[in-house]
Amino acid sequence: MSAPARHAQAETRRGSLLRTEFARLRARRFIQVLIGLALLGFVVLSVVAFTQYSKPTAEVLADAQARLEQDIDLAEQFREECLAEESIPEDEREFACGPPLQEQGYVLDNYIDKRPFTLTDDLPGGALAVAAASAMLGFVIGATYVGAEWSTRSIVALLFWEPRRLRVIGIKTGVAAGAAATLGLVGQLAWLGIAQLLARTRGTTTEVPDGFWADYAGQGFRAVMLVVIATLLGFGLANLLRNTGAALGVGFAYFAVVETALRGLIPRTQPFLISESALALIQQGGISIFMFGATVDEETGSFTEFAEIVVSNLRGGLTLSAYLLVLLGLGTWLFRRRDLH
Amino acid sequence: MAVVEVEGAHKSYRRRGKPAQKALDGLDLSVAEHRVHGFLGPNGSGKTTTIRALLGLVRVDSGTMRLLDRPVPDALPEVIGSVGALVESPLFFPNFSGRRNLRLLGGVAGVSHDRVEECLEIVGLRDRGEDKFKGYSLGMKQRLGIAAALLKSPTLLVLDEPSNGLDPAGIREVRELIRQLGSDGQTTVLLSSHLLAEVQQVCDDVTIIARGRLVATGAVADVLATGSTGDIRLRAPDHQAAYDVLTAAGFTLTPLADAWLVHGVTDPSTITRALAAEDQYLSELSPVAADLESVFLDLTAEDQ
Repeated sequence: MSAPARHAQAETRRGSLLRTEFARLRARRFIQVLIGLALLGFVVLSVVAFTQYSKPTAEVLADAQARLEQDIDLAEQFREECLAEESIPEDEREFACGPPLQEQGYVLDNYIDKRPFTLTDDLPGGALAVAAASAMLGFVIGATYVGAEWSTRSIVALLFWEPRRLRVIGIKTGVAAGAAATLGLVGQLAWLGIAQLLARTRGTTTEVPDGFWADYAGQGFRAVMLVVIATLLGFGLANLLRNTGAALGVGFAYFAVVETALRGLIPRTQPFLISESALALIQQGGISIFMFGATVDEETGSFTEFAEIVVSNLRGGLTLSAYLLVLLGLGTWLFRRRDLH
Repeated sequence: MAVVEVEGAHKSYRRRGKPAQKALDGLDLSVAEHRVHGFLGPNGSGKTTTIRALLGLVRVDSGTMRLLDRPVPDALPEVIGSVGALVESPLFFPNFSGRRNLRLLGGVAGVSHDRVEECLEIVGLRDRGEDKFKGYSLGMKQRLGIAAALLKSPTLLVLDEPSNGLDPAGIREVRELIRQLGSDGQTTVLLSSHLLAEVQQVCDDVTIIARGRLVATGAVADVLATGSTGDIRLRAPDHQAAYDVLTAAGFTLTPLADAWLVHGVTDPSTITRALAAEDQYLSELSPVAADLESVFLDLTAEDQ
């Protein structure tokens, strides 16, 4: 070892835990692999999407229209035969044979092998799928980001440089949230770009209804929120358990076992489950959960009444935020209080 | 000025289903400025707990602690920029290179990349800086830990067992480095070690603890003196005559290969006086100094 040289303070540049934490996150090989795989998956699914939609030619449309009209004729013919059936009491025929058929009840797209991509029908659904995938990816990234710090105990080494534990965990939480927001936003923008391309080359770019883009932007914002919440849930869980594997195991057990059991055994808990709350947060208008209501016929035990519980975007977001606050709060409190070895 | 001051520190670890384990039991510690201070104690005596408490990783139940004249842990953020530490095994990301690990740590305090290179150079890892940490040998990992502790150019350097895993050449280099740091007039080194010879060779002062309590402290030479045996090694031209004279004078002697060991001598001049009175003269008379190991074992024996 050579003689130590004294380090002149003037040579130092301004330190930044925030900048260092972002650098640490970016440098993690596992996170790079996860992002790479996610990107690959997105590209593959985009290519598959291009094979699933087609801009129909006039000939294809004419053929589809002809088959649609043929089906309507057949159905109408069946209805007339039904109405003429004498075995059915006359006063019940209208009910038994159904109402007159309308062309509007038939969808032309269903008569085309590869239907065209339309922004109004396909864009929001794809955005939901991208949000769900991004949220799962965010959960794993959040967990491994802090879980690896505990496994290697490098978080303890960091305290030799920044002993304010609340500041350390606060900045790490902020970095995880910032990375998650970037991930969510990039995912949504990438899907929007692909969707525009699909619409131009494999579908239609006809006018969208009034308010469509405003609603879509709202959904995109909520999708980013979901990715941030999911990432911080993974982060909070791994920080509490001090291990990435344990956090992922608990997450898997919760979604695969606990939620399934609760849905079956205690249905009234559904509005409070993370999956339902997540869907309620991002889906336009939230979700409706139908549950058996009062038993009408005590003898047969048949349920004829249902209770509908509407979980709005706001309620879904608040439920998730409450879980997140508890998880992060508990982890932070323990990190601040515990002796570290 | 004392760079490290601990007064009456108590710390107990709660254990589920078992009585609490006392790690520190009223420990006092004082480390003077610009000295190399050895911190000795048997396993479980509270050395690492003391260091962890000083660095804010462990909170003591009672007592006061000061680093660089500021109370810790409350004022630790004010002084941490001047404290470098290696506590037990180095803590780094295994998949990052040594250089990246140091840069990430240094980035928190704005340490320049040049300083990172300097520290890699100091510990002899500059050529291996791009290797992943997990590929390092135990000794290289330890060197990187020392490099991390040096990054801040600390005025107080806390090293907990820095020679762990090092080969003999590496151990010698670490000791030289510690001595250089201790003699630069700017750095104070607190060296926790179980290697008594290391402390004896490298340190100016030493504190010995056992069961979380202070057993002895002071300059290494003074502490060694407390363990002085009072034995004198003696050689005379007439081996047997010297023995006869001294036993007649009331001394207790045991034979060595070519000399006598005279026990319980408070004043060596009593030996020369007794021999001269019988026309016997000495060819060698030397006090047998205690080494740190024997002093350490004596001092901590009742606490083992």
